[in-house]
Amino acid sequence: MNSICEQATGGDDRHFWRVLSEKIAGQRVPFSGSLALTHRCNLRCVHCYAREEPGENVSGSELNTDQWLKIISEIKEAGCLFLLLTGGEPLLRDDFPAIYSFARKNGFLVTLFTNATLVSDSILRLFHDLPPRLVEVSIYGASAGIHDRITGIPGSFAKAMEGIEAFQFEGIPVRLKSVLMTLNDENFPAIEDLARSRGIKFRFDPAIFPSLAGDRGPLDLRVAAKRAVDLEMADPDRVREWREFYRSFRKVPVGDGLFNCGSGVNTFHIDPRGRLFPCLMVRSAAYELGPGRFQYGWDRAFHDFRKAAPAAQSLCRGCEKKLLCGYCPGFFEMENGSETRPSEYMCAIGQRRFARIISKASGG
Amino acid sequence: MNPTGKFRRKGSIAGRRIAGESFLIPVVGTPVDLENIFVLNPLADYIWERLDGERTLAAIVAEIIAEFDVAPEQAGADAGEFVGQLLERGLAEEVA
Repeated sequence: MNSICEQATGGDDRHFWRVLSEKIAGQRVPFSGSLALTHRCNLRCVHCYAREEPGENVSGSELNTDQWLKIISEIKEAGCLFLLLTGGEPLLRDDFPAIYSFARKNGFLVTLFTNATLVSDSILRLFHDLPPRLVEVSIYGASAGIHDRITGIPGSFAKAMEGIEAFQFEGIPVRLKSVLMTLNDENFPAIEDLARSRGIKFRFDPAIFPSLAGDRGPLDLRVAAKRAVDLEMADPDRVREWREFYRSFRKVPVGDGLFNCGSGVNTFHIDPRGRLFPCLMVRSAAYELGPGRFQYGWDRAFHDFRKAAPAAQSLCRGCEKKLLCGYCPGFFEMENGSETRPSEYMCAIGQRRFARIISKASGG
Repeated sequence: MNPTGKFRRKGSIAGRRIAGESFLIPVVGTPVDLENIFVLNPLADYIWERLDGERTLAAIVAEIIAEFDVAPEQAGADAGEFVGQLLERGLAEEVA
């Protein structure tokens, strides 16, 4: 008998995605979700979108352990496979080991976003026994001076480096990520060198957006689009990746809808209070999971939100650079109060990326 | 494969059903690599669910014959091959 049990991949992730895509084609299945376990954090990053506001009782409104375990059981039944645990700083929760091990033992492929300053021996043992798929650590500078200035906490760079080294020593897959801003753009090549010297993959994003509480202050930290893309494209590998991505997907029909991503179709986000959203960025549709059940929220509460979106009003309709700008109606809503009014900044980023890719393509 | 043998799933692997398809996901050991995820066809999934350490392989084969449109010889061969694959990959174990 052939293939009663077959390996899902032929040696790379793309094959797995092809297999999974065939299985769920045309279905609305929440196979990828993110859980913001807390919005509390031991750092005070200047650009943070999730930071607690003065006087806000963040910890008092968080779901407790049993509530998170109930949600994880429900999203398992609903078909979630890829799970991102994020915050705030998830390791601040005393019950993180209980939540994490429950997710792993139930077969979720878990990625953790952390600042790596709270990596204890018990966390390392936990990850050794039940390895995550990936740990992504936020680093904002190649030295303490810049990183600690952005995080607002002296000593946070040294702690993060210790945490990263400990993860690597245990053989836990680590990736570094950063946000490009006016406080660290000069330092960016050094951050990339730091990652390279440690054999760690690195990614960064110039997209800074307002806080969830509506504070637009972080937008002042954006680096000019031309400068941001020049830094991005200084790496030939990244140019090649962008070019390959554009060539692969530019002919793929995206439909006429306002949304052309997996938001609310294959992805979801749950915040520390237990509110279910179609993704981290889209806040216009929500369902309270405290008293309710995930499947009900997924089926009923926002399955139509994409149809209701006024695609015809979108200024981005028909734009060939949508693949390159980080097009996201949820982002637009947060920045401009309208899902159809694009971010001028991200539009400029897309225009610049397009120009760089085309010029490279014509030369090669 | 011993038809009177009893087999059970190991805790090192989790069975998941997503959009009607069944996957086996590694839980412990080396970092989770998508290469190590297995897709089960319906018959394999049916067998996997019954590897509880209580049923004999012969009992599972009898259930297969009752449930699926398959000849007894074929059912026995399929079940034996699948359980053999699981044992070989360390995903299941024989109960003493």
